[in-house]
Amino acid sequence: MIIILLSNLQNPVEIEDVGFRRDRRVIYDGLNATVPRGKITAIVGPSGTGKTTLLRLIGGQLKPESGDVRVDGVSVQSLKRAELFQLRKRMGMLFQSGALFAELSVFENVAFPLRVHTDLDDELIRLIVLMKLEAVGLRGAVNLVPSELSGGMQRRVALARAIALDPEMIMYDEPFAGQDPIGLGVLLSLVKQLNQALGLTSLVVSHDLQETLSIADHVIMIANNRVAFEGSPAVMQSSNDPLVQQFLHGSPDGPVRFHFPAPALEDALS
Amino acid sequence: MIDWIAGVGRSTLSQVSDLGRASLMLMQAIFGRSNVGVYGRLTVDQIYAVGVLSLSIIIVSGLFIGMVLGLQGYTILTDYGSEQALGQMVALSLTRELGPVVTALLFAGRAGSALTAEIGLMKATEQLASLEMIGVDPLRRVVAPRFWAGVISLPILSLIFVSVGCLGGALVGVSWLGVDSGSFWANMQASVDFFDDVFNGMIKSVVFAIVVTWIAVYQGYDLVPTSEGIARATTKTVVYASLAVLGLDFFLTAVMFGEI
Amino acid sequence: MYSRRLELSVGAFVLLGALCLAFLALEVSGLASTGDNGTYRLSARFDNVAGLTTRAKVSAAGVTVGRVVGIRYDKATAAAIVDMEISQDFAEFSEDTSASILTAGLLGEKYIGLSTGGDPNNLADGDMIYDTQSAIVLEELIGKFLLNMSSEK
Repeated sequence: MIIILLSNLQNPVEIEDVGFRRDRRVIYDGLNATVPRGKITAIVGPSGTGKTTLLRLIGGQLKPESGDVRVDGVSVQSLKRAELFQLRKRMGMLFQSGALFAELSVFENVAFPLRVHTDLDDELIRLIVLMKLEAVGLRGAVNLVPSELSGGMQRRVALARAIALDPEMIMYDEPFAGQDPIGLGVLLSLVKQLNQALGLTSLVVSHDLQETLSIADHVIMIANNRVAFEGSPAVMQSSNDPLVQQFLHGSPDGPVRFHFPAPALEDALS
Repeated sequence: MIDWIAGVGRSTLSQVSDLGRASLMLMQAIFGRSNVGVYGRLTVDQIYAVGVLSLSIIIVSGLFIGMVLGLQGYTILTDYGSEQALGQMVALSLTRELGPVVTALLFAGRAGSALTAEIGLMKATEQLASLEMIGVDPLRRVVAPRFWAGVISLPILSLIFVSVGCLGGALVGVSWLGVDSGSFWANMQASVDFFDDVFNGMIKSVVFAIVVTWIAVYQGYDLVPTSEGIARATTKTVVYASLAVLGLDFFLTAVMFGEI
Repeated sequence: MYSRRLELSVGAFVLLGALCLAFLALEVSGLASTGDNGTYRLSARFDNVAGLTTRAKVSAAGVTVGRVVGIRYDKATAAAIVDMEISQDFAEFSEDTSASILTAGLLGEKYIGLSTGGDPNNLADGDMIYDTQSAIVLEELIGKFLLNMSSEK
C-alpha cells in the first residue's frame, strides 16, 4: 500500500495503453507514458502526432477510446463533470494563443480563477494578482487589455492566470511557437523558474526541440501512434533509434518519409 | 445511384445527430445549476450587446416598413373607396405578421450572426477550452447568458418595431395622404384585438427568439475553430435562422389564425 | 467591463419595450375602451346572419358595447341565434330593443347594431331579442332590383 502511494507521489500522471482516434484517423494505439513529479517533462514529436491531444486527455477535455489516463492515481475519463472541474483546479494550462478573455483587462483575467473558485475579498485578490503578475514581470501592464499586449506578453499573462490558484501541475501547449529569440528566452527561463520556485510538475509540448530539451528533465517523444522514446534528454541524444536521430537532427529523409505515400512515379506518369 | 441514396442517408443521420447535440447543449446551458447573481449580471451585459445595440436598425426598419404599408395600403384601398380602413390594415399586418417576422429576420442578421462569430472566436482562440481548464463550464458562463439575452431582447424589439411601424403608417396615411386621423385610429382600435393580434404576435416573437438564438449559439459553439469555419457558421446562422423563422411562422399562423 | 451606463441603457431598453406594449394595448388595440366591469349575455334571433362572425362587435348608436360570442342554428324555428356579451357598463337596453346586422362601409365587416326602444323594462342576462333585421345579402338585393326593373317595363 505504501509502495503504491509512493509510486503515485512519484508520478502524478500515468498513461496506460491508451488508444484514441479522431474521425477514424488513429492518433494513439497503445500509448504508455509517465510524468515524474516536480520535474519538467517535454513532449516532442513530428507535427500531427497528437502532442496537444495528450494534454487534452490529461485535462479530461477528451476521453480515450481505450486504456487509462490517471492523474494522482484517479482515472480522469471516469470522473463526473463536477469532479473533473474540481481536479482541474489543481492543474494549470497555458494555451498556444494565450487564450486570454478578450473583454477583460489583464487584472481581471488573472483574477478570474480566484473570483470563480474562492471567496477571497477584493483586497486579497488584488494582492495575489499583483504577485502573480510580478512573477511573470508584467505588474506594470495590470490595467491594459489583452489586445494592447504583444503575443509573448499575452502568453505571460496567461501564465500568471494559470498559476493563480497555485496548481500542482501546469501544462504548456506550444509556449514558444512564433516567438522572437528574446521572447523565447524569457518564456524559457520563466518555465524553469516557476518549476523550481513552486515545485510544479511541468509538461511542455513544443516543436522547438533544442530549447525545450535544454530545460527538460524528462522527454516523451511521440511518433507513429506510440511513444517512440521516453527518458532523459542525455539518453535521447545518444539513442541509436533512427527515428529519434532523424528527429533530433532534422534530416529530410529517414523513417519519416519525405515523399507522401504514392504509387511509383513511372506508373503515375505512364 | 446507390452512392446518392447513401449520401442522403448519411446527411440525414448527421442532421439528426446535430439536432441531438444542439438540444443537449441547450439543456446543459439552461438547466445547469448556476450562481444567479453572477449570471444575471452577465445576461444584462448580453442584453446590451444583442438588444440595445440592435435598436437603431429595428427602429429605422420599423418606421420605413410602416410608411411603405401606409403608402401601398392607401393606393389599394382608395380603389375601393375605403381608405379609412388604412389604420386597420397597417396595424393588423404589423402585429400579426411583419412585426414578429421582420424583427426576427433582422435580429438573425444583426445579433444572431454576431453571437455566432463571438462564440466562434472564443472557441478559435481557445478561450472556451481555457474556461474549461479553469474549471468553469463555458455552456453556463458563455452560452446561457447569451441565450437568455436573445430570448428576452427579441420580443422587446418586436414590440418596438410594431409600435414604430404603426406610427410610421400614421405619419404617411394621416399627415401626408390626409386620411382622417380619427377614423384611422378608431378603425385600428376597432379591428385590432389585444389578445388575438398583439398577444399572439408576441407569442410568435418569443418562439422566434428561442429558435434564432438557439441556432446562433449552437452554430458558434459547434463550429470548426478556424477563420473559414467562423465565416461558414455565421452564414449558416443567418440562413438556418431565417428559414426556421419563415417556416415556423406558417405553422404558428395556421394554428393561431387559421380556423375561425 | 460592467459599467453604470450599460446598466442604465439596458433598463431604458426594457422600459421602452413596456411603453410600446402599453401603446399597442391602448392606442392600437383600444383595450381600454371595452371596460372590464364584467359582461352579461343577450341573444337575438335572425332569419339570416350571412357574413357575421364570432368576435364581431356589437354597437349601439355607434359605440361598441360588446362582442358576438356565438352563432348557432335553431332547428325548431329554422333561424340563427346569435349570442352576444354586452358590457355591464351598458346595461340599460329596453325590452323592445331591436337588433340589426349592419356592414361597416361597402365591403367592411358585419356587425350588430342595437337600437333601444321605449319600454320601461330593461333586458336582463340571458334574454332574447326578437325584433331583428337580418343581414343584407347582396345577391338577393340584386335579384329584387332586377325583378323590379322587369316588372316596371
